[in-house]
Amino acid sequence: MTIHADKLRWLLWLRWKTLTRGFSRRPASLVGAIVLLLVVLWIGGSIGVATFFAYRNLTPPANSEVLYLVLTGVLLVWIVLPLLEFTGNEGLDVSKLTLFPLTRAELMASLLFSTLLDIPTLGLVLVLAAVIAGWAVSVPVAILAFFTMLIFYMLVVGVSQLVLAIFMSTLQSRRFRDLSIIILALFGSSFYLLQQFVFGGTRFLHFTESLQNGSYSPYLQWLPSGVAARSILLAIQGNWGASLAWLGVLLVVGLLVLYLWQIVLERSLSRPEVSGSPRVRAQRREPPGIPASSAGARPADTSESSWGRILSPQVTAIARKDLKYFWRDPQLKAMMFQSVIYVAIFLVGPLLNPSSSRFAGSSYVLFIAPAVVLLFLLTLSLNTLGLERESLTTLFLFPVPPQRILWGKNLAVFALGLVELLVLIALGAFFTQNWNLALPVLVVGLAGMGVTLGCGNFTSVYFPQYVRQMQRGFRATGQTSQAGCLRAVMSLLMLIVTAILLIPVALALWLPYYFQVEWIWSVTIPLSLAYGIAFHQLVTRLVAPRILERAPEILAITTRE
Amino acid sequence: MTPEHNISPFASPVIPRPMPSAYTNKSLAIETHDLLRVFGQKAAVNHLNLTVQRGEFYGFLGPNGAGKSTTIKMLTGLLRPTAGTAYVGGVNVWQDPLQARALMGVLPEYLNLYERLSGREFLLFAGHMYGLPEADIRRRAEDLLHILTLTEDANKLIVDYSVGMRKKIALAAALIHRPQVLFLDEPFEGIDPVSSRTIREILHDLTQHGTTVFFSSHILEVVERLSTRVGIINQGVLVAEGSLKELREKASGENKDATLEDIFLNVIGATEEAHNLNWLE
Repeated sequence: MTIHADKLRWLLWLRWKTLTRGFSRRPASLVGAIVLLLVVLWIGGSIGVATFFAYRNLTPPANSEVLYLVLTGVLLVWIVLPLLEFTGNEGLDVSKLTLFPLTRAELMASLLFSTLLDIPTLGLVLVLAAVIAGWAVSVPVAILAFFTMLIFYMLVVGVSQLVLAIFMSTLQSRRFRDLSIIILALFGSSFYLLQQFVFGGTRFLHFTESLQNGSYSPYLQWLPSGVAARSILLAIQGNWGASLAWLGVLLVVGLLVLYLWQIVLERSLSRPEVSGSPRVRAQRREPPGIPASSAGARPADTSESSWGRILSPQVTAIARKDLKYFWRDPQLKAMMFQSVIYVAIFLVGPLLNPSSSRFAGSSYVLFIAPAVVLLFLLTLSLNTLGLERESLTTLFLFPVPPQRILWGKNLAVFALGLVELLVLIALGAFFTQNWNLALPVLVVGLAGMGVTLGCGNFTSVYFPQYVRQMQRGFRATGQTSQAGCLRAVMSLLMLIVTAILLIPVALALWLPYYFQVEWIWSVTIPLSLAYGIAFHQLVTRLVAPRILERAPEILAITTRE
Repeated sequence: MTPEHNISPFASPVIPRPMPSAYTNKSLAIETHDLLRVFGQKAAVNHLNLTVQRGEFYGFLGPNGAGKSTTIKMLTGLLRPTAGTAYVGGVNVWQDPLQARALMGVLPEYLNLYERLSGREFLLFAGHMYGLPEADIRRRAEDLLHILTLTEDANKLIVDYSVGMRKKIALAAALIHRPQVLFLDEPFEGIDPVSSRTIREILHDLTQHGTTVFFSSHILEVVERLSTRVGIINQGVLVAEGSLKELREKASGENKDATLEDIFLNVIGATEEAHNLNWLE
């Protein structure tokens, strides 16, 4: 277990360099880091302050129960989040360091020290500092609490790294990565629902009574977090022998975890990389040949009819491809699921809780349905070329007329929007028993889709944006600040513009209803549909040629090659 | 700096062309006039004048950062030239891009494929994009999958493919419409020897049937074996061009047995410097 101080110093220098170099090479990432820092400070600080007062002011055994729960929560968070690559501790990339003749002790020590430079560690330190401050009833207890938290910190980092190493092959599988992207995206958007669930669960489990009765510690005391808590609590009771014994147990467990982590990591790194099952393919015996056909590539056939162009094989192929992508690409799938959650929050929630809804029993729910769908459509169509990400290069290599690219993409989004609109209208009409409004709302929704897709085509061509390939972890799940502000401002601006352009459509539905002259719908509703179609066609025809003219510039923005 | 100063004695002469037109000499597969691309202060491609005949197998060589990929991107319409014109199959790439794209197949340096499609789906998609009839698309896709030994993995998503498999599926997509001109940027990188041989045979077969292959590679043996003509670019300037025999005569003087590597190193001015790492001994 030799540790050369010089090597350790150089390893820490490496960690510092990679951190600062990241900011100097991409200054924009500094903004993201500052935001993350503020969030971590806020969360860690809030928990720290709240738990400090809980340790001090709650009557025993509730305060010690809080200690058990907090330490166990910290341990669980540090185990679970790295699995989603919400990297609790980035530290050093040990897989690269194994090339050098470093001892296990040096690797462990460098990992532990380098984690102090990770932003999430700050939150952890605040929570652990609150434990020390909250239980420092005397100097000896404060010193013991300090060392207990130090060892617990080592254990927490070690356990999270051990779990990562154990599940390394699973974590690297594409299916798991896809799933974690969706889970993370949904976690953010379903906060309201989770909140309701947690509060409901808290009431159900009689949380406060359990705290006062000390119901948690009998179970949690056997976990490493419980051992740490028990060591502090025994010292406060004056049972120093038992306290130090449990501290020793914690230290042994911590060292064991670090050792196991190192062993598992070494094995996983030395395991040969295998992709798929081994398969020996028979060598090709047939002479090579080029698939022969009289048919070659055909650029646009301008003699086709309008409908022929709109529903040409190229358009339907692009639409089919996009629909497959909506389902198979975790980033796009997450966007779709998020829209379902928004629907649940804005529509289904009020419908199922009539007492809390001012919309209950009225037809407003039906009127809101197209707005929810159009909002969803806008997120998918505002930057339709950017959503292709790197593959846009491939699309631009094909001899496809630009109108067809837009039509194909619009067709896919329209299909999704139509399904969502039909479902929402059916649900709304069912709950409010306003089936007479279903058809007008549907037609107005279609008209709105025309306007929304038209606006999306305009922004996609003139203001394409880079969409970062979403990966697991906080480093790429929206906390990146690359074009973040511009994107937010532009999205807001486009939302306003689209809303203004949708006013005629909304008025066509709303005014006759408000003045109770619904017979006018027979004129206004078809007119709104005509307006939506005409707007979409006009805008698409005007902006599509610019795709060809601006292809390299669009690629430069959206692909960052 | 004028174009004349940048072109080496080995390179093709400059043909002044004041007004670019949408179409040019259709007997040439590729033609560029004073093609220039400047990044900041640096000219990545410096007044490049290039002509490639139909059916030629043109090897495009150069050290790292010489401008090979930039040239291919400009020829395929992915990067706008700062100045100059580029024709593919007689069509101005920047004035009639759709027509030009219909004539070419491209295997780019970075394979930005539709990773969430399976290999088969991607080929079908590519076939539709080129406007081929449905029956032809299906037959050609199966033929290409078979020839490139991808049939077994045809229903796997491309995201799960290895580097070599990605390259092969990208090549298949570039071939499906039987292009007149095929641009290949480092086609043999990451390809196993068996597939590499298959691809070489396919490419050779293609040129026998009139397709032009324009490819860049670092693997000089492959270039030497396949190319009917070679162009060497260095610091954005075409420093040498001709058949292997011509280059050998021009660049290596008396040395009639010079390999392409000798010629290449000679032309780009690389000198063999003895290393001074005595401590290795």
